[in-house]
Amino acid sequence: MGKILSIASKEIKTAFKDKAFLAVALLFLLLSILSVYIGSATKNAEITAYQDIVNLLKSQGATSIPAEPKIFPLSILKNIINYVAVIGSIVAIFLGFNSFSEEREEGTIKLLLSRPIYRDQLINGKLFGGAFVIAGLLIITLVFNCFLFTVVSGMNINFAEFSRLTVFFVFAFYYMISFYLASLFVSLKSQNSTFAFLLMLIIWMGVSYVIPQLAESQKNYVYVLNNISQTMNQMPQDTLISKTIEIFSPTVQFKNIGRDLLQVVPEHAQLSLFTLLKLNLRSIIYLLVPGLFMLFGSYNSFLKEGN
Amino acid sequence: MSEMIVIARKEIKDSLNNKFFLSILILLLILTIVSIVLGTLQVHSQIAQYNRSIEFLKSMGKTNLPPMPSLNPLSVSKSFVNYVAMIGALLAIVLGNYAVSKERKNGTFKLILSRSIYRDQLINGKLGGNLLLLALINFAIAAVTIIFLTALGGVSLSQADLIRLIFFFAASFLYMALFFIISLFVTLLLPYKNYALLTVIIIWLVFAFIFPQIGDTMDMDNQLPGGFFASMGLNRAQEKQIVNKFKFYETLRNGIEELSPTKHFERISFALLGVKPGFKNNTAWEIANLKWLNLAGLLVPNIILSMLSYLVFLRRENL
Amino acid sequence: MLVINSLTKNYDGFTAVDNLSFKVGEGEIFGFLGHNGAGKTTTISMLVSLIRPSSGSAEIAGYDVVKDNLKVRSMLGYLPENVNLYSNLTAFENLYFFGSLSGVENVEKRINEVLKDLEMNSWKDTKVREFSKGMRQRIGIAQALLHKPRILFLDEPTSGLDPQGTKSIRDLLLYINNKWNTTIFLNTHLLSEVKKICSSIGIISHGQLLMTDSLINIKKKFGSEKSLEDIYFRIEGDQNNGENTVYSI
Repeated sequence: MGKILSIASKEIKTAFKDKAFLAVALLFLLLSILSVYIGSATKNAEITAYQDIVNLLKSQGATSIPAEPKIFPLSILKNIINYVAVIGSIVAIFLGFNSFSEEREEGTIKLLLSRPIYRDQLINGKLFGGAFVIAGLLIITLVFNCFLFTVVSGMNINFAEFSRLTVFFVFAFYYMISFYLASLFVSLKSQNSTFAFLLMLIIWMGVSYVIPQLAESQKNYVYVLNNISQTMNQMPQDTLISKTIEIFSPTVQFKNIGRDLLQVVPEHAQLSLFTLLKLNLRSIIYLLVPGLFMLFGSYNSFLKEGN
Repeated sequence: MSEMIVIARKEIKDSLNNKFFLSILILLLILTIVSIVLGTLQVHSQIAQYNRSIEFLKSMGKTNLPPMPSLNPLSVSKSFVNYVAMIGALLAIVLGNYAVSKERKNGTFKLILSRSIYRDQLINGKLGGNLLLLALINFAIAAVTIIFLTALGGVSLSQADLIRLIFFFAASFLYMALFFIISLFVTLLLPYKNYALLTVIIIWLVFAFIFPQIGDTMDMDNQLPGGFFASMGLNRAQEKQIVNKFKFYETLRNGIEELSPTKHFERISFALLGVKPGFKNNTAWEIANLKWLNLAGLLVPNIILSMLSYLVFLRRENL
Repeated sequence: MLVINSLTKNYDGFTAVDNLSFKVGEGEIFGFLGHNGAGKTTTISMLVSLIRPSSGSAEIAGYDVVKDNLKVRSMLGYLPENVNLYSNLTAFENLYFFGSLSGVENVEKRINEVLKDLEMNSWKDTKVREFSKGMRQRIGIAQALLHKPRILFLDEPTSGLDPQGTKSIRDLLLYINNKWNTTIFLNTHLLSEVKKICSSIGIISHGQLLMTDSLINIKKKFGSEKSLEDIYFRIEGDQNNGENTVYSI
């Protein structure tokens, strides 16, 4: 265990001495924290807008007034879902892309492996180090957000909402670790860290952008009649094709789970955590599989390499 | 001049021999085709959906019927613009980075500069070769788009449509060129390891994701699925009236979005390809005139950064 | 100290090291000579248990490099060719990391001892990326010495160094060997280096061992040749041409 910790602490030290990683990690923290501000400001603007709408409609002699938009506290934090999905995954890639390829380029892998340690200890150490950094970033985000949340929005969250938020961060952690594992795997397989980085970027683009876009383009936009105004709105609806495409993107799965947990979907905002997780079971499984696959792949490939 | 052409030719040959570059290019072409195919499917299903909705509404005695959806698969497939923007930018970043880092790593800068050649000839050759390559890439995507749109989508493109497409690809060229030059400039500035590439990727993230994302989340209408104003039952005129009361807020939002070249490219493209309603009756020239600010948003940074790259390249002793 | 028995490594039909057998005694400085691509690095990689032999065996102080690889690794120090260390970390941080991995007790104290011995104490808190190539090699040797190894494996330790740097590394190796009686296995293609510090040598070409003996015996055997260089070329010439006509002077 001592050796694993030595490797883990070296990983953490090098991560925090790497300016590029620091820059992207700071960007992540800044945005996650900023998102509370933006979320609150937008919600406030929306409430004022609602009052204006009511006044406008009344002055025009309308009889039916639209209901006040219901604001669930956690939904103010909803931007964080996107930041974790996009920037969080990039943070994990920055952390992992050169973990093995750079050791190879610099020759240090030979120094490591000529020490009395097992290969799995080395990979475990790297994993622990990465997990620690990611967990650290997320915990800072969580604490800051909870603090800012009460200060800026003036709202309080109850225990159920806090549990939702915590579980959201657990999923965020897993989501980021999946990308870290994928980078570790690519880094293991590649001799050149620049190539490993670019390859991970392409994978990231595919998973977090191209596949969701493809799925989005296959959604049905049904026309829905608005009860109050009797006007037509277009609402996106999942189709079999869009659902099938989405399976291949952990980002979509994470966003689906995240939206439910952070009360973005009004119909699910009041459900118990357990019911919510049961409802999202399919998404959770689709989110878990790629990370586990990468973990197994990394072990398998690194342990075999010695032959 | 001839030295410049020799360098430009070497740049193009070098990139076309680069497997990674070719893989991204092929990916981009495949996604273009996939996007057109899916766009076509979507158009068909939307028309069916539309007809069903109309039947339903008529049976309810409604007269205020929603307009027919656009028949052009490109306008349905917003993702098309996004792929070009995203993968095209990455392609350009890789080109800009390799143009300097490879020469540096292999020591060939020294070999080239020990020949009887001026530094500006070298950078001109690099800029010329790579920009030509980007133009060729855009030409290839344009050709694939037009062929697949007519063959699969069953769309007959009018002359006006073709001109719009040409304008779109010109904008896309400018957008890619901008990222190429950003990457070239940063790589010239940062010689240590692959820091330049990582830095450019961070810059790209800020421009292509973060600014638009902040803009999006500040958009009041985005807060509810289907649109906030629509759910409140407001029409366009009423919506405008409300938004006018939030002038400062909207200006801030717009300002953040305008910091992003990606947003500029998106705004021109959505207007040209008919994704954004309201430009149906304008010619391509008129759209370019209406969107002059966005065009400038792409052009001006290109010029400034090219000049800065010259400056660094000509002055820096140790390349 | 080191016993090698029919050691062989094949890569997809290509034999990198072919049936190698020889011994290195305790306290010796053994020079393993050969041209580029002769199989020196592959041999060292098998001995430090980085890669597994295809057949044959090797023992360090009676322990098999495959079966007892963990024990073997705790007894050896290794410096690969062209190693840059963690350039973002300081010399101390690098040494602390490698010392901990080798299970050194009271690492900090040990680092100070080694740095003092290597006259590098004042560079302790400098980032490795600011070091010259020669300094980096010294830190590289320091990391190999932390756990007081009984045998040191060094792969071309003076490659790319200036004459001053080369001399200083050479002196350092002699110092280590004298002070702790550490056995040193030195991969090199520099005959001058071998002549100055090695007590015995082995010559490898195209994966095969051409000869191994003490430097004194070799000089006796090839009395007619003027220098070690002549001897080397003559042995290599024998191997390549079946005769000793090409390189002998």
